[in-house]
Amino acid sequence: MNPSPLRLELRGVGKRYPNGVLANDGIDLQLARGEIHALIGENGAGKSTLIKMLYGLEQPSSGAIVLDGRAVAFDSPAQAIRAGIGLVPQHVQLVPSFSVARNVTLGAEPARWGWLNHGAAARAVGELARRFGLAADPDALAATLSLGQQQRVEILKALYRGADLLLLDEPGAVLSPDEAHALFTALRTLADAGMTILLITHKIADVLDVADRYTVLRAGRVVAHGASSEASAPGLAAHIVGRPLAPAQRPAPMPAGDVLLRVRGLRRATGVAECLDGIDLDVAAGEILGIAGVEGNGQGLLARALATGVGVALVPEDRLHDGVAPTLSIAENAIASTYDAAPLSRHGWLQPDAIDAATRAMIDEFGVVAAGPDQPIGALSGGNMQKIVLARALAGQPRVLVACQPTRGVDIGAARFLRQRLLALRAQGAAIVLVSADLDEILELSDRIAVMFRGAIVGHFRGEGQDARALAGYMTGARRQDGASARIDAPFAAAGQEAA
Amino acid sequence: MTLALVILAVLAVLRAATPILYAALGGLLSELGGKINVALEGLMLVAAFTGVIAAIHPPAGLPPALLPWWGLLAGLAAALLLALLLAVLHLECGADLIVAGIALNLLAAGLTVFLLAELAGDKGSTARFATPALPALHVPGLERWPTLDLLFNGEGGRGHHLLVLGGPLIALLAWLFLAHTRAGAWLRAAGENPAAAHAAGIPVRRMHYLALLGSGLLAGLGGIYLSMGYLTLFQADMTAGRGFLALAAVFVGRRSLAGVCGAALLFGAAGVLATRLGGLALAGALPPQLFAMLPPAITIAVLALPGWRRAHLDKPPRKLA
Amino acid sequence: MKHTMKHIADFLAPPSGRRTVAAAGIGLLAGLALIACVSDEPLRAWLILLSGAMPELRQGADGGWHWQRLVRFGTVLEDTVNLTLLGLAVLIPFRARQFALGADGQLFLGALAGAVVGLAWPGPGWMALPLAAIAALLAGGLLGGATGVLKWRYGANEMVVSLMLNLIAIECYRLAITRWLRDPDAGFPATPFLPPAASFTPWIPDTGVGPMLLAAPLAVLAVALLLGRTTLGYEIRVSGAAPAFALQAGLPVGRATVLSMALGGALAGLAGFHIGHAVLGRLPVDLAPGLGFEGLLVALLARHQPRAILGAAFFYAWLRAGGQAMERGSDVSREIALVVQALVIVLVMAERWPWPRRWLFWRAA
Repeated sequence: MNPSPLRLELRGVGKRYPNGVLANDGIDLQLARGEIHALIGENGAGKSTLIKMLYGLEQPSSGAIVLDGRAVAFDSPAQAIRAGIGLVPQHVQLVPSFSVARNVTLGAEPARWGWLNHGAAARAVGELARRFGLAADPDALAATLSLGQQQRVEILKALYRGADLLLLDEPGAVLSPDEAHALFTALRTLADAGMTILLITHKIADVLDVADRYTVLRAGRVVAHGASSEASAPGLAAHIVGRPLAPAQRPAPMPAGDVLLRVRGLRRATGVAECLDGIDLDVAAGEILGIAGVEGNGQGLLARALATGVGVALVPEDRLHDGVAPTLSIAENAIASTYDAAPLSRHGWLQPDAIDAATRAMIDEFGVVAAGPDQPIGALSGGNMQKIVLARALAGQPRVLVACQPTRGVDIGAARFLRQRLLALRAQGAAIVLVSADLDEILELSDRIAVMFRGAIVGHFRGEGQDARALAGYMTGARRQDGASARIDAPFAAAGQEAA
Repeated sequence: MTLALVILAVLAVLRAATPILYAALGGLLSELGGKINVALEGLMLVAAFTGVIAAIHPPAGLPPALLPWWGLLAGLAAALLLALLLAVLHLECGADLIVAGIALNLLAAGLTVFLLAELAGDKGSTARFATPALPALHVPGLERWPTLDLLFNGEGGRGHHLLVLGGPLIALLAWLFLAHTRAGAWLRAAGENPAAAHAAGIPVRRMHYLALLGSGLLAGLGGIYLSMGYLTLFQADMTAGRGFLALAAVFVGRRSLAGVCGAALLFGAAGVLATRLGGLALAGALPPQLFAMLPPAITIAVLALPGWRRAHLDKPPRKLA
Repeated sequence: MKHTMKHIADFLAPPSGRRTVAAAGIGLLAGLALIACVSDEPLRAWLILLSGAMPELRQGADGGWHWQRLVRFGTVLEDTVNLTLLGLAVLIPFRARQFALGADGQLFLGALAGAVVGLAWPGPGWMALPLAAIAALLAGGLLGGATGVLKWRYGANEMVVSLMLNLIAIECYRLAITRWLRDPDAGFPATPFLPPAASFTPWIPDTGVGPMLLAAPLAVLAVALLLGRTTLGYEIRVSGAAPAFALQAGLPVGRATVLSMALGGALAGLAGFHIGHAVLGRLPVDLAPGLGFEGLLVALLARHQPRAILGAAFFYAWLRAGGQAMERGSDVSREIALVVQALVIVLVMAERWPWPRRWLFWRAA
């Protein structure tokens, strides 16, 4: 039988969920052996669903998946793994108390009659790491690794299972520019050795830097595809968004206000990877302080620490866990910051009419798509849920707002709305701390930017006129501003060029 | 002379701790598998009950030497059945795990008393029947070394009960299972990060069943010891909270095998201490109720200790305007 | 045909009210099956179980109508009050996701506190009962609050702590009665009878059914209002439904946890007050523990909804009285009632029944 030159082909693949949502619609895709293919699109464009179908976590409702010329259907990841497909997920899925070797060999441990062979596992992992240039210590505990190292373990996991088709889901999201560069070099090595790679991303740079070919998804459909060598950033951006992008509107500069939040010498030790090592920062009325940095350098910890004051509201990072109570109604969620005062309650008694009216007003003002205030909030989409989260945070008239990853996992329209609300809040004179792994968002919204690395502030920048490359060196710890802090009067770092 | 007293005390503690140890090992197994089992009490009870009842109603023609083993099998089967019910209720029917465990505890309590009345004609205990005990292991030829004889063969030279000796052995086997077998690694992975385990192709649901059924088996062993070793009868409410003490041991031991074993020993010791103190001459001056309060108070103190230390010993420095 | 199958499949997982009633029915039928295994006259025994608690209206020798078996029915009502209070005592902490099993100890201490006030109150007689009730509420509330504080401050698991506190509280009760409150004239260790000022006048003669009967529906109403309409109830519910969210939103989770257990304890203490002052009239040292767990059963039966507690408590008390009648009138022991209850709870507890549904769909497909 002639082996098909195409390793993977998708013919008209579609997915309609039982609740009616059409996530993928008639997707056609071709991947040749040894090709690095970028699947690019915005949040909510349907990329994750496609990956789940390729890995057996979901089943297509129409169309065919063709592997090496034969149609396949996967009911579980185990089947996909057997067919040589490996998934490197966006959120690492490691067992924290297991070692690297144990994690890599999870599910396929070298063993004799059920008795584990620790030595063989460590040796196999070491061998793989050497072969593909992915540095890893087989005996290190997964809980002690950085996010970049953890991701490398995920790749080793897929390689150990004999994958020759790798699916990488947003790999660059948690990596510093340097670590991302190292990853792409490794991917190139893998591809040259015959590995086929499907890279899911929302960053245009990934397409241009490492991919051979690309496919653009928008609203569940393929809208463009071709060779990367022939693509351009503006062209891709237009395809992703569907119309030529207007250049980002920077907010008008505001007169300096009083410092509303002052932090000196903040330290936290959690005993695990993240810590805070002496943070000094100020935020003034009417300004947005952006906290940039590779995820896992203490930003989440900082956000939680800042939010424990009176008059400080938080939009938490983990929406489903900390941001909402999924089984309770929209109204019960919406009043969480204002329930213990008039008009929503009097002398400890809740006022149902006032609560209903307030929730309806919130729903209208924020354009939330919902059946009514009594609908369980878990039924809403991510974007609508986040709107309620922000609305609730704002309902308490906070003087300081800490927004942690406010537009993550949110569709474009809702994200734009949320950003506008942040700017409106800024115009009203509140002080905002914006923690975001989306560098574009930081650059678009911040008046001042502080870069965090390993729990400390290593660079302080003016928000206006910055670009990503200037910050990159600081984000990886390659460059460090002496005595950096985010005090209102702290000096700005010299805008650096790309780190060596 | 005092060495003999110490040995006797240690042996008493081991005997008291054995049922708790088995149940605690079961609790640890299920906790590491991600499914906490609060029905340990009921599992011990049904095993204790079924073992004795089966010994009273053996199949025809069973040689008397096999009677205790028949009881053992029956008791373990009963515990497995109850654990299976718990697993099905939670994993297939979506019941809350803790609520289901509590409900099954209640079911076990009611069922054992009801069946005790029906099958043994007495609502309090099976005392009027002569029910067997599982054998004790006796090391011969130690008469010339009285201390060693005391250590290995206990008071009266009859040897230690099989299940008392089995306790440390099972603990060792548990350690080997969790640290060195593939099934043990899969179980821990399914408990710590089910998503990762599922993505790696591990049958997570099967692991959850294994966790719950395994804990049922172990708790059953603890229960069997109560009615076919510690005593040789079944009484209503025989377990007297040992299943919950085992649960406490799992919490106190913080998911580590050594910690759990240590906690089980501690709770066993607390029980022995209370009984011994109560029997001393002091009992005339101090009311017996005070001694009865001692084991629960110790349990509470042990449970609260880690948190107390955390709260009072390491205060994180904070500075916020 | 497919449609019918789907309807049947849907019925097997219908909304809670219908399902609880269906579960009760299935549980009772399962009880019949169990009785059939051990009895020579299963149907008769089963019918006594179902109807034994009912009072009868009979024509007496004098030609007038009299109520018979009122005392037994009175026991049902007394039990209903106890079980309602004890069920609510478990329910409130449960809504805060706390599995507090301390109702027994709280009941004992509440009874003790109430009896102490009732026996020793020197002041105006009309104050004795309310003060005794308050003492019982406080005693139970403090015990429950202690469990809550240990959980909140030191992370001690509330299931085990409350069970341990039970043991301690019961020993305190026994100690107090044998040492300090013992009635020298009584034939068995017990407190003296409570003075009339600290007692209730029964509505049904020879029973403990009196004004305290109102405590049950009032308590249900109070708890329903608390949970549904007050800020504290909101805090309790949110802390239970999504603890991480509640913490982050700035809700006083720790305080809500402690208060939920304190309020539950207070209600259990009130149940103790009811037993001492309304039902028994004095406190014996060998008051049987275990009533708290029956309250737990009632709460599970009611799926932790206040409005269902009264019905669940009555159902339980009815079956228990029926069980006692059955034991006297047939060859079946009364614990079958407990088994039936536990079975009903098991049926009620499941959120879904996958096998019949899958099977029905498979046949219909």
